[in-house]
Amino acid sequence: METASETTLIQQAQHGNVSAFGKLYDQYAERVYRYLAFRWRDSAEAEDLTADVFIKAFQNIRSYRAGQAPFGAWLFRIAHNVLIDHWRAKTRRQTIAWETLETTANGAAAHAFAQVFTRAELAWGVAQLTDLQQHVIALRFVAECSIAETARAMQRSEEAVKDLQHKALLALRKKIGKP
Amino acid sequence: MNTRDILQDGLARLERGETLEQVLASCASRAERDELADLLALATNLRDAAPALSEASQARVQYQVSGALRALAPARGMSLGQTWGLRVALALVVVIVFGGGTFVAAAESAPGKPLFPAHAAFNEKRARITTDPGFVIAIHLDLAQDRVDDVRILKQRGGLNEAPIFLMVGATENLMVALENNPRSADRATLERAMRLAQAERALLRELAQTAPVERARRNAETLYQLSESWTPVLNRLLAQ
Repeated sequence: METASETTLIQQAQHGNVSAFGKLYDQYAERVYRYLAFRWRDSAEAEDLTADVFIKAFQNIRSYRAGQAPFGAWLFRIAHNVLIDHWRAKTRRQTIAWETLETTANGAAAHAFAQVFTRAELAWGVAQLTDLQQHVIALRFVAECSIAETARAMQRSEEAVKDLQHKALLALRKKIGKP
Repeated sequence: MNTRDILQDGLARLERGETLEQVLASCASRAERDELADLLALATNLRDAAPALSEASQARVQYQVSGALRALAPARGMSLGQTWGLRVALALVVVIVFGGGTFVAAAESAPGKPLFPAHAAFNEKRARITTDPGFVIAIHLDLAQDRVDDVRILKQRGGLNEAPIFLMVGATENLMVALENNPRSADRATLERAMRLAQAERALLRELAQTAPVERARRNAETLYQLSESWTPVLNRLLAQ
């Protein structure tokens, strides 16, 4: 659930306070963009889609009910719908178009116990997953949504999300050929 | 705990700031540790591999959103908060000044400049989300005027090719379509402004057909000048109503 200050911002935005909405934008823009860029795999179009998400959010913020879902879940639900609309409008592309397919740079991943997966491997592997698996991975690991947020955004139970993320990671590991 | 819950526990601990080593150290067995290490590494790698929102991208998105909100706010009877708009403007200046850009403000952006696509998208988005036909016409008129100004600036700088000329005529075509679709939504002052714009743009096209530095630009300016012949009769008809 959102914090007290976030709840205040939402209420102010619902009364037409654009500055309050701007603060909500600041809190969520990065995560929404990462989710869209990860799923659509075109950074430039993801920028436009991100803008669309926040415009739609502003247009519909009066319909948001705090008790029904966390604000983040509501926002990612909009992001998902924007993505689906965009998908329908364009031919779905199977190609991998992340700008740089170099090895991931973060040293934290290069752990003695752990495999280091390259961006190319990950991009290819994710593209082979089911839409549902891609969705849960994008929400949980790219947009860094909590289990609760992901569950609300996907309209599933938290237990189902735990199942899905587990199966998605197992499937991804299998696809990219790691034992 | 089953594997699914062990994974979720490991992810939750990483989210709380524990290191991978700490999480793996508490595994009950070697097999469990190996299994978890792979899956947690995958999750971590996914997080790191996803594209991040660069400062320039952030500015472009903010610019589009703030433009849309500016259009939406009056339509919904709201007052536009100044703070965020100002901060967006400052963010743009920061990106421009510190991000390697060379021009003064996104609102003054011109073709070939980093934020020109944002500038165009800003106005296009405003037009797209606005339902009041009079306001749509006003936005298209602003956009068309901007494109004429862009061409004039580029012409002065000597770097004009055909692309901005097409953009300029395309913007005015959009204005004409909006006017024809909503013939009673524009007041006389708007129509007169549109007429002045159309006449000035046609004069500019005729000049560019003779003097543009690139041959393709000259040829296209000539073609577009001929295609734009319909503008004045349409505007005269609307003014006569």
